[in-house]
Amino acid sequence: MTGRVLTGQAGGATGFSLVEVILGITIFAMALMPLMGLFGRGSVSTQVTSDYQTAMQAGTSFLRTLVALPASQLPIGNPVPLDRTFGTTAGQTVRVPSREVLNNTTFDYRLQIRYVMRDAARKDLWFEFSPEPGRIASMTAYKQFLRLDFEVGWTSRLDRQPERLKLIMYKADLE
Amino acid sequence: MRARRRGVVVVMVLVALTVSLIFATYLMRRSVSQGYEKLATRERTQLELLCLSAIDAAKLKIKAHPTELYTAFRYRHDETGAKKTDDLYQTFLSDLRLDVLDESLVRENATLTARVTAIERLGITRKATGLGPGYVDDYLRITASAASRIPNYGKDGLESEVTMQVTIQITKKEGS
Repeated sequence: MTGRVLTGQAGGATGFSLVEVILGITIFAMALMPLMGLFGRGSVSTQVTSDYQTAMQAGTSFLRTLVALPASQLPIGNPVPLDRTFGTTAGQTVRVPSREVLNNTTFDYRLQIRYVMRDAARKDLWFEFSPEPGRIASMTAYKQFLRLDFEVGWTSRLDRQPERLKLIMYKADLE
Repeated sequence: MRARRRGVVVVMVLVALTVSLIFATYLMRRSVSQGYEKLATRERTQLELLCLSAIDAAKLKIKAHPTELYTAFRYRHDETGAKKTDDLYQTFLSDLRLDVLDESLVRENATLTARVTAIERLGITRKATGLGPGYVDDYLRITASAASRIPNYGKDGLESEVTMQVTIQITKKEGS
């Protein structure tokens, strides 16, 4: 019985030896490992950005809805108690929770509403105008000029550190 | 022949390493750019909200002092010669700035500005429907602009600017 040895051309000189193939795969795998880590990191980074966008959208949405309410229906406070509905007019109300889970991330909300004053000695805000050239007069235009600070807090998926985003808006209203 | 094979293996490994390095650099750059975009988007969002607030303040001032605004328009556009002046108009706009209306805003962020930059007559009027004869609906365009700068970001800092325009309708006496 004669055995057959499978060889390439010129007595098997053109192929890779098993050791070379294993060595090549090992080095390739070692180069690939940190790359895979970066892929994972990139994916988490995308989720982190997504959380940030969600926080921004939530903050903007609540702020814009709140400033659409009459100023008299916005309570002054630091912080304003949440988990309640703002607004008393039917069809023009907004419920602001203190905590909400969006896209598997828990967001905590904090709202501060305060009067804004140009002059701390006066409670009302006024505007300056000129009834005629060379004469400047001032007049209290409205009694309510409020500043709304909306804070969104959540835990970063990247390093488990607390993240915070604050957006501000103003609300002016005639009494 | 063996030396050539070894050379091919070395080249392949080097190519694999180079490709992985290039890709890693790309991913790192993308991550940095995502951080930049995150910050830039937050700034833009905040500036948009401030523009809306400035426009809101302008609407109220117009509602409270329509006569003064139209007097300012008259002196700005309709008067001739020595009577023509921009002062009334500029005075009307001068305190429609959030850093003026809220002094704490400047203390918190000195680079943040938000103000009404223009209030213009569109020149479109039509008979008011809600009130009696002699009243017309006039249309005004309010332009607000907000800007901010984060100095210690990147090479030149991060500068953001948002401009917003709205058109409002105001009912006034014909000819006033």
